[in-house]
Amino acid sequence: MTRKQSRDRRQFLKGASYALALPLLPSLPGAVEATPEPSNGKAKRLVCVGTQLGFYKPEFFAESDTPRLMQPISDAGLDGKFTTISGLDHKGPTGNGHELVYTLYTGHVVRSISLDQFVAPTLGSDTRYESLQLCCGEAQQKASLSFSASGLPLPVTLRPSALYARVFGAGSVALKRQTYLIDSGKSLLDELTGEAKVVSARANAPDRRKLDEYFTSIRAVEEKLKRRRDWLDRPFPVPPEGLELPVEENVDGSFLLDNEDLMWDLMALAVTNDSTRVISMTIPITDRALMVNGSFMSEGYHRLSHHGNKQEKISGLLTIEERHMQGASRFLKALSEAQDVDGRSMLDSTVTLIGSAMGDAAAHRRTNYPLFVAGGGFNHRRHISCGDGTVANTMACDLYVTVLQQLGFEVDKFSTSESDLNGVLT
Amino acid sequence: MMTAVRIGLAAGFVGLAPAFGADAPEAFGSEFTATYCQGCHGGDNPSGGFHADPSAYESQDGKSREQWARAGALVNARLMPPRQAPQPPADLRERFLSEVQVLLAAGEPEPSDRLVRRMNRIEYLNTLRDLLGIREIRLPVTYPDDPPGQRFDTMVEGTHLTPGHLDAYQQIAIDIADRMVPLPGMPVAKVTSVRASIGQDPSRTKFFLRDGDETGLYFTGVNIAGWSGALWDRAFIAQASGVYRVRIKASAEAEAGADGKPLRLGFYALNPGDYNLPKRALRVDLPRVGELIVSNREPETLETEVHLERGENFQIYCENRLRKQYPPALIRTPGNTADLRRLLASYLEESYESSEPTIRFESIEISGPIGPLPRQVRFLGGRTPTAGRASAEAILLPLAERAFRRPLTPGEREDLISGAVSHAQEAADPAYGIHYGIRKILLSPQFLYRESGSGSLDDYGLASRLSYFLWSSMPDARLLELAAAGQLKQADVLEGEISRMVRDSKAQRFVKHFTGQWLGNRKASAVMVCDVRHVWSELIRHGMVRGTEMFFDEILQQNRSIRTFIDSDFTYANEPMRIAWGMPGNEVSLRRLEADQRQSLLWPEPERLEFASLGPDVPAHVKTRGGVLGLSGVFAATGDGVESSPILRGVWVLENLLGRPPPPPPSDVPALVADISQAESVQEVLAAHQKIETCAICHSAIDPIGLALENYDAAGGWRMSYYREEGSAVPQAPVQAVSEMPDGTKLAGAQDLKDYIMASPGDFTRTLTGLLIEYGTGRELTARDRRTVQQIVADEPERGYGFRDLIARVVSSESFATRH
Repeated sequence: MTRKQSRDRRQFLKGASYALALPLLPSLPGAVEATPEPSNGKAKRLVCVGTQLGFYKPEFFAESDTPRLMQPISDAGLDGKFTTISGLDHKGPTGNGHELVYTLYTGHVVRSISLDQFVAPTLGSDTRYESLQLCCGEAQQKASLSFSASGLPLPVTLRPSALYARVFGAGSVALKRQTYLIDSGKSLLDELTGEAKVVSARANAPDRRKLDEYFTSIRAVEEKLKRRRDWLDRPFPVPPEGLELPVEENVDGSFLLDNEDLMWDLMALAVTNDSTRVISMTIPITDRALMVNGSFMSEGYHRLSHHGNKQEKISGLLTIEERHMQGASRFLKALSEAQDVDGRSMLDSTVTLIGSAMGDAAAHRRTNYPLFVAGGGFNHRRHISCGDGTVANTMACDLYVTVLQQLGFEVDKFSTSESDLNGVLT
Repeated sequence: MMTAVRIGLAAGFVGLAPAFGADAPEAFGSEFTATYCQGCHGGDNPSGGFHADPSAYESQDGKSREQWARAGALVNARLMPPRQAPQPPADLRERFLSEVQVLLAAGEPEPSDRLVRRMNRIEYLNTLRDLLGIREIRLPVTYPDDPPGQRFDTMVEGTHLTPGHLDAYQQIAIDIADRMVPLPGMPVAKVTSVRASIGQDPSRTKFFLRDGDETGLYFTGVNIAGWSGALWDRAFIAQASGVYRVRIKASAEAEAGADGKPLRLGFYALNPGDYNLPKRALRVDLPRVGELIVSNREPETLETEVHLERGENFQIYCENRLRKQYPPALIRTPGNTADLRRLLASYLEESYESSEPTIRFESIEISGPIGPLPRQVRFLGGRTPTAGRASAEAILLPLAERAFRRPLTPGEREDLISGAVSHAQEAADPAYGIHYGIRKILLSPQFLYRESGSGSLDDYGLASRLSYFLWSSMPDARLLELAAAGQLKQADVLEGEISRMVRDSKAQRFVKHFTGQWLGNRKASAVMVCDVRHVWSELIRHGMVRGTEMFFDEILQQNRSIRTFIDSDFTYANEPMRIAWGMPGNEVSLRRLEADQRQSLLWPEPERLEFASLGPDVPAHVKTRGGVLGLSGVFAATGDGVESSPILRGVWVLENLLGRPPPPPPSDVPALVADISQAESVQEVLAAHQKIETCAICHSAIDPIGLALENYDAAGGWRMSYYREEGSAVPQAPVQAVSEMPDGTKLAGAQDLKDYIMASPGDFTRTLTGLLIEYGTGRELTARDRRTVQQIVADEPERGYGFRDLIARVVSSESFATRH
């Protein structure tokens, strides 16, 4: 047990309305809300990745030698830049089913904001996209790890080509037409505001309160149109040479690994060319047998995850999970080779989290999550054990508090956190 | 200052049943509690720390509020007074609940639908389609979901309008305006593709190749890994809505296809940006936009036209391709599923290399739009818009009247037309004015919010409410005409309209959305079923969802007694479900049915099973699948796809059939999570609840219901014993669906439970009536609504209401026609 209580919690601004874990307007989905200003965090980007089928933990935690799933990271020369953490979970229900895997970055709180969305308005204010939500191909289940302030899942981009188009532009944009539509849209909203006020004046009191939502929304959309107008004239980054998407795109579950590879690579480009600073990506569950090197595996991914400790199945499962981590290692390597404006490597200014709220898919158990942290300027120690893996676990949200502080947020609480991991990570 | 409100003082209550001398409402509460409650919940040391004296209620005290809310729910659920104590008659229970509701309402606003509401996601989409006649409208992926966790998605409290909505609305408005009146300079597409350029991805085209042919593709591809045997030209995308010309060079290898007619290509529109697209193999709902008969044996260029909306592509599929017949080895032998999987896999491998005669395809050329779609021509009245007011009025005013679901005020007309005209002048093109006007209509609060005002709805308001109730969409021309003539509120007219609306195909939306929420179909459509533990296939999912809908629809259309929901002598199931239910006589395996489906794009629809006509070889448990408590979908929806949950099922029955929702667990009791994979028996796990007094009160009613249903697994199949993980040392535990209700009724299995519910049919009528009012008005039941419900229950004929009659009764009630 190496976990320590942090003695030097950062000064927490008092008096201001920083009841952070709670959305300010719980009944108003997507409401514009105040997010605290980060003050020169050690890192300024956050990438949250989650699998829906967990990881095979005996080969995940870097407790002693390099386990098989950490070998790709090690091979990329990134020893000392990552930590695996055992003994964290949400201490929520541990029962059956796949439903609760979506709580990975929210904590076990029904309908609460996810970590990435919490930081997005602040970290993402200067980029083309405030944040991106990705999923590696078709999702058999709902897929998003990202939840808005009112707990609504955000839609995901699941086609690599769609992500490509968002990062590098979708070819010739009809600029004149776009400009016309945005400009006329703005005058339309002006007119409607005036006319809706007439409707509102006639309405009874409850109706009028409800119509206030309409006015609030109009103002928020005007802001969005302004941002879109601003970005309209700015050129997209040029895709690097040799970057080509397959001519035919198949996002069926069988091709999960190919799509995932593309997603990792495009994600590295989106981060390094500063299209966005906040990304979440889901590696989804599928019943399908995966295509590996041109041929289908003998059993479906989901079935392999129910390995029942059979060596043959575990080996198949590890083949898949190794590919997840190979993608991650390419992503991290690309970041480590890119230089941030302050001269550091982008790896050091980007917190990357990989994990799963499915602690053990074989038994549908949700204790002791596999969690991996890389980069972000943390004091990495390869492995931290925060509990005995059964009941005496630590809140996963404690990790998120430390991540938030690393990103410059003056908070000492996120969702169901009880403390933080500053003592071991910073 | 604390305020104490006495029961019965808070609102003017008109008692329905002044049963035991309590004519004055204020006396009712104290008399009721003195008679039935205070024996235990009174004195210096009241049981459970709750003093059941209404005058002791503190409206500002959270603990007191929670206690009274629980008291109301427990009395309603017949869990209080306890079994051994004297029981109040049903009407007094009901009245007590109303009084408690009034009492609690004194502290906060009553449930209300007075608020204006935006259309929910489904209503919005349907309204756009019905308003504009556009076949397929997709919401941008950024369109926010309706908030989950509400009883119905029509409930007004959940229909907030957020910036996310408005942003999506304005994108949709642009998209729709483009599709109605394309602005000048819309791009035109022309694409020519040959085999080499249409399919360069070997993982896909290998299904369409044949050895020795370097230039042709063959429609033999079976649907494996998401490929439905359909081709489409990825290079093409319709840049504008319109008619496109398609030339295809192809030839037929046979005189006739599987249906005896010449081989035929079908064209199905699809949106390449739609991320459900990979499931196209599982879809029958792609719109069919054209066909091409290929009867020539030598390659020829054939021409046809397809109607496409902007952003669409289309896939081409040989609809009557000759199919590979399956070898006998694939026929089911008991307990041999793993083998079949392998056999099928190798068989499928063979079948896409097989050479059943089909259509050979060489190249395709797509160009257009070569002309407007018929609906675009209709919208503009067959003319191009001209400068000036007259043209703008002729096009925009009829649209606005339908969009606002009522006549426009003079001010609204002026605002709309002057905006459009001045915009057209600015752009020096009348099309811009119409484009702008459409966008404005679609962003107006009068369109986005569907009801306003308070009190009794006017005729237009009633037309809207009725239409959104039964059609999930705007009123049609006839309803608006009746509203304009002021006739809609006449009883005979209203009844006639309800009959007409129920018969209309749009009523299937009511069937879909009401069953989706009441009978759990939405959950059943999405729950991920563990196919290791269950006999499972997506075909079963299709069958269970459609089966529930068809069961419900029959009761609706035939005006059968609503008691048919409790028990019936028929149900609906498709062939894969019948396999899962263990019905004999089907010498095919589930995998074989899946393989068939992969070749056809069609899903096996449920058929009506009449129990009386089933043979003696059909197990008895199939013949007792009558009513909603035999529907697989209901069982799938009340579990997590892995294991059944007797607790969720018990709560579901209490809430949805008996109308006795148990109160939520008290705030200080942690949830008990049952992991029954290790326990000796489910009874044993659930017994844990019964040992804790706080839990036992409710669980004594919840658990026995769930236990009686334990023979149904989490996928709705039948089981006699519980699943064990492979290699588990624990022996398989037998299912024991035996339990005892709090009133002492012993249940052995589902049929006993149905008989139990049938014994007090008024409870079901009350529940269903209440649900219909909530769904239709979008508000939680108020005290006034409860009186409406009671009156409807009191008037119920001996055999129960016909379902359509009940709907008519609800619609003509004061509750439905009023915003409270």
